[in-house]
Amino acid sequence: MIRQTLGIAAVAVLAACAVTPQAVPAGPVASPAGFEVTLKEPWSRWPEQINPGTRGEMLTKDGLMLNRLHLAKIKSGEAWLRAGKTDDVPRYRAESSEIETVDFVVASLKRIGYSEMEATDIRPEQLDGQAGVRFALTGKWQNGLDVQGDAAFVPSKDELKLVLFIAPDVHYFEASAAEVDSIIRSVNLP
Amino acid sequence: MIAAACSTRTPLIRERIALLESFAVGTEQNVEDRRAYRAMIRPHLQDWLQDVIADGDHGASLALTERLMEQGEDLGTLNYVRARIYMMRKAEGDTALAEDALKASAAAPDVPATALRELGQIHRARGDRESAAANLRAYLLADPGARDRALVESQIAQLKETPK
Repeated sequence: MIRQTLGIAAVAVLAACAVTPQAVPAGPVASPAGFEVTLKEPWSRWPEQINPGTRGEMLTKDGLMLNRLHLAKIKSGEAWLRAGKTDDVPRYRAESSEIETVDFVVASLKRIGYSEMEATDIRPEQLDGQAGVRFALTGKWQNGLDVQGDAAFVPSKDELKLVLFIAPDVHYFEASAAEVDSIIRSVNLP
Repeated sequence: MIAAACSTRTPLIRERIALLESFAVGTEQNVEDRRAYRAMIRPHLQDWLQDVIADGDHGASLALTERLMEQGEDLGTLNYVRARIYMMRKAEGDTALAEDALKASAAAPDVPATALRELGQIHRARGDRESAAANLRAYLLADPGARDRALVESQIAQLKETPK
């Protein structure tokens, strides 16, 4: 029995170690965050197990430092960041107003190496027929590089569904901005 | 020997305490200096206090704002900051305390525009549609370039609709 349990544990550890980025072709992508998006071009997928900063998976085209698209779900009372239950980190609350939720996302980004982050152009956005919020982001990565972002969220079934794209201001943000816009508009909620 | 040393030292300690107290009496802050200092830090007061409350020590943050309010200045900013602390703490009764602080902020000449928005959001969550819309409109008037203008305009439009 003990040998069997140890065997199962070893297999589980090996399976976790084997998690690597995967190529994702253009087309619909079902995210573990519980919603689907449609990609126009191929991206690479970084599963949650190899995402050190935040919960949820990331998609990238050229590398995580050059462009990254977060797909996440955050339950009420939980953090978007990887943190323990009692850690002092920003936490999503279902009863928060839209602007408080925007502030929650910005505050979370400030904890993972971004500074001077600011949300602008905060506006209503329908995501798959549900009332959500869309906003732009500006700030700096920890090496001083200016970054821009485009994000949207929708509170759904006591969870926050979040799509957030962030990339260096120089070239990379604009290069993917149109496709990211179409990805955000393609969100298909369960 | 030791007892004798202590007995000779004790009066010396008392003298030192008396001397220090006499210094303390002489260092009462000049009211004009305090006003001048407040005027210098006023443009940064809200940002600094919000950095303090972001650290999460709500009791200390409330005590700090209370001390700053004793001077009777910047009551719009300070009451807004107090409201933010209550809204972050979210303990029982904190929404009512936040609303009171926001109303006090709104009555002060230095009310930050965002205080009007937060007041509107509290009334919106409670279903007090008229008051919510009025406060959100006041917010947009106070800050025409608000970063969430489109979102707030859509909320005002929803508040105007007849509830189903």
